[in-house]
Amino acid sequence: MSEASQENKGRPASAWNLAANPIFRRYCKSQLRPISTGIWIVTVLVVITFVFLAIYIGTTNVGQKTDIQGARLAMIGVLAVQGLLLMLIGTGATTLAYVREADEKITDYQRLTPMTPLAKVFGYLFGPSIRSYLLVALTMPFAIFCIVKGQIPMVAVAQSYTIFFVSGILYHLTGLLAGTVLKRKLMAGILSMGLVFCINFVLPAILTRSGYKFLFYTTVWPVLQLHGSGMILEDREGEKFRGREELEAFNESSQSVDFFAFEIPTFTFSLVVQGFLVFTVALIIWRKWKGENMHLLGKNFSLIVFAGILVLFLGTSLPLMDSGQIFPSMSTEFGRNYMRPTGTQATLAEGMGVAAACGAVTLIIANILIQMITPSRDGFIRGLRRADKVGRTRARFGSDPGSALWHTIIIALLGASAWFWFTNNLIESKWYPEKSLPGFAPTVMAAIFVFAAICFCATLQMFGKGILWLGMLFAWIVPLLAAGICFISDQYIAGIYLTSPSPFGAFFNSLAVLLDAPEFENLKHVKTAFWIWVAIYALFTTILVAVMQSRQAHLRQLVLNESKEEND
Amino acid sequence: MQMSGHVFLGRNRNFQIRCRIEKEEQEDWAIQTIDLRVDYGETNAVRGLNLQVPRGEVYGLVGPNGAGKTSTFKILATLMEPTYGEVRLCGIDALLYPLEVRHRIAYMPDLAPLPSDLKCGEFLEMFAAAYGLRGKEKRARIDECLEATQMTGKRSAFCKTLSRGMTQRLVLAKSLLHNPELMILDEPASGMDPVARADLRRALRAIADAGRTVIVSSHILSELADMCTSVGLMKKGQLIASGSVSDVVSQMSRPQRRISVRLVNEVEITRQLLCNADHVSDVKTDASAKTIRFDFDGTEEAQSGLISDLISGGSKLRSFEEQQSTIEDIFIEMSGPNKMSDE
Repeated sequence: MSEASQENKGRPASAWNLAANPIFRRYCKSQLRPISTGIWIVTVLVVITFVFLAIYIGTTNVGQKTDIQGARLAMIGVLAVQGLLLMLIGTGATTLAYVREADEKITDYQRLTPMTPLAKVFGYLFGPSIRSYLLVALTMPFAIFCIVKGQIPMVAVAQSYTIFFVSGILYHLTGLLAGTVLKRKLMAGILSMGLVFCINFVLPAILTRSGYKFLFYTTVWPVLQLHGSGMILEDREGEKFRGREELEAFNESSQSVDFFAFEIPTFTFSLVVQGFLVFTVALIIWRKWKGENMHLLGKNFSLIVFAGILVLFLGTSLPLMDSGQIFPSMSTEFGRNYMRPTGTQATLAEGMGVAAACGAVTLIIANILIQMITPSRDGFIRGLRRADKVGRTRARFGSDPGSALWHTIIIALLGASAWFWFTNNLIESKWYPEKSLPGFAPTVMAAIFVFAAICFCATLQMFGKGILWLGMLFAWIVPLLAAGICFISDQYIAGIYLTSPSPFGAFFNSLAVLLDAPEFENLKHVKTAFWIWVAIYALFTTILVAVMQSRQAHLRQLVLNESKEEND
Repeated sequence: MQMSGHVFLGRNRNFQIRCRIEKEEQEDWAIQTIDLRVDYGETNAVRGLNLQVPRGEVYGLVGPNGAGKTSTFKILATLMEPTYGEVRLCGIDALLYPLEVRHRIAYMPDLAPLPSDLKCGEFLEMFAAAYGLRGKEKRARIDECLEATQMTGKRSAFCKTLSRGMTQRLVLAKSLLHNPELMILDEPASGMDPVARADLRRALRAIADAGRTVIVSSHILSELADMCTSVGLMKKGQLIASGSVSDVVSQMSRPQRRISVRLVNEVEITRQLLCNADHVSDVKTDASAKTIRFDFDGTEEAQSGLISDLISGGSKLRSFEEQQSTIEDIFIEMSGPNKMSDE
């Protein structure tokens, strides 16, 4: 072909031009076929009409409320239907479409096209969920009626819908991620929709108790609650009703998020948190389109992601300490009703529990990232062969096939630093005036993270995911379950010793050592259990690292010999 | 020829300069692989592959299952990265500039799949747009490709309703959309009946006649030999012979000639004579057809002497033929113990 005709070869449209994106257009056709779309439209119209009329007429006619109040309440119903369509059904559609293409091996065709990886990410992000967007648009007249009739402030509308759509994008990306990781259609579909449910309802409830309050801002709730409470107060201005003071306090505290010493508006903070996650997940999908065998995250970027998560975690959890909101006894309904009256709030045991949970969640997040960056044995060998070809003895530091050991240590040290910062602030807070962490606390805390993380990484790198999972099950989880059974059978000492093989047990036990709390009956045994853990893990870490280094050296030699044979 | 390493020089600034230099250096090669290696864990699929296919050739890659053909094709198609080695397609480094290469190549996999939720026309439109075709040009090109593969009538049919042969033709139409310089076809006739195979062969001939380079693998070797201007033989991940079909056949043929003798009388007398003759081995008889086949490694004079000895010994010869090895014979011989292994 001549030079000129080469130059004239067409270029695919820009990644930002969604209307011209072939993948997006392809799904516009397949997802919007007249008959199936017609059925969806009729179904959604029936549901939204019923929800709207039931709430609006029910409130104004039966409940004797004003039209404004009726419209505002109906808006909640409309938003719920829109959320179901965009977040649950849209995410499911995105995941299923992606997995089906992989299943039918159509993704190979897409890989072959000269579209950029970013264009492919955008195509799959907005294409398969196009029907959800259309159906949400179909419900908008009801929403507009509610906004106009209910005189809902435009700021509330704009902020709520912005967060609504950004969350939708985040969940759709999560669906794509599930489709990338899981190859079975059914599993990926269930996982993605399960994730939406968990992110919205389960994880914030659980993880907020371990200081990871910022995860609450990955949902639409903070912004909706802010504007919802504001409108209820506006509706009932001057009126006295039960719980008014609490609602006013809630509305006041919902206006902004305390982040270290700053006060950031709730809407802005939600956007930042969701934007950070959208960027990270989009990057993962982009990498998978760039090269099928690439790790989900690059080694160096995983450090940035982890540091970002820790900054968000510390920034939102530290300001909760002085107010006592970090303690479940003071921030949950259960605590307020049952613990506070008995004077058991913010005890040392509760503080240790919160700090230990924070450490455990931090270690889990660290391990997820370590799992993403650790090369498989095959990947490692491939890296060695490639390196040998260019005259090096090992893969480039930080490259996908390179050993993840140093990055694991850095991740562990980052996690330990955050845990120390959190625990130190908690112990130094007004709730424990006579307590403080000793000077060797950072070393003990770093040891827990480093030992646990290295064991995780070395086992994964040498033996693969199956053995790692079995190891974690029997060394990390089963001892805790067995200890739980012992505790409820009043076998406290046996229970304490059973926690010793698990790093999750070590988080709590180490605090007992560091704080030397005389109020614990079995302190002596807790301390012994912790030092047993340290001994076991120091030994295991040393053995695993030595074996890993020796295996790596053996593999290097193998590749070297192979290359010598070839050259001869 | 000077080979540059895989040093990333900055995509936009250097791409055109590199291409120009490489074009001057490698104007004649459509495919050039240098020391290519592919591993799947402990298994070595391709090793030290140095493949060079000139522009405008129809190159057949032959080898038993597990020879490394599909791995090679996937790397050529930029679907997979090799463990190491260099791949240049149409003068461009395919590992450094896969997007640039994808404009110039088309790949048709073994048992090519189609999306179940699209119509044939929609399927082609998507890929035409993905290759940068727009508006009237796109429509005209889709029409041309449907015409070339005799699929015009199926434009509005759902892909899932197509037969195996039609599926292959539609994927072929898709592969032609962007006028590729190089077509990589892995077992294009796989799963097709004889009529569909003949159609496909005609379509491939037309593609080759249009001056494109085609690299194709197939197990239907007689067709491959008819169609290809050159072939390469792969075994255990290595290219063991490459060149024109006749060159490869003579290169790979055994030193012995295979001779077939047809008789008028009983085969036994002739068999005895052959067993006692010099330079004769592997004597096989077919009594019902009155035919004997054997290997002969003597000179032409010795062969002439053997004919005289047979006649004087009482053999009534109807014919005495020296059989030519075909690519199929070589393939069967190569397959040997690996015949049943999967790639």
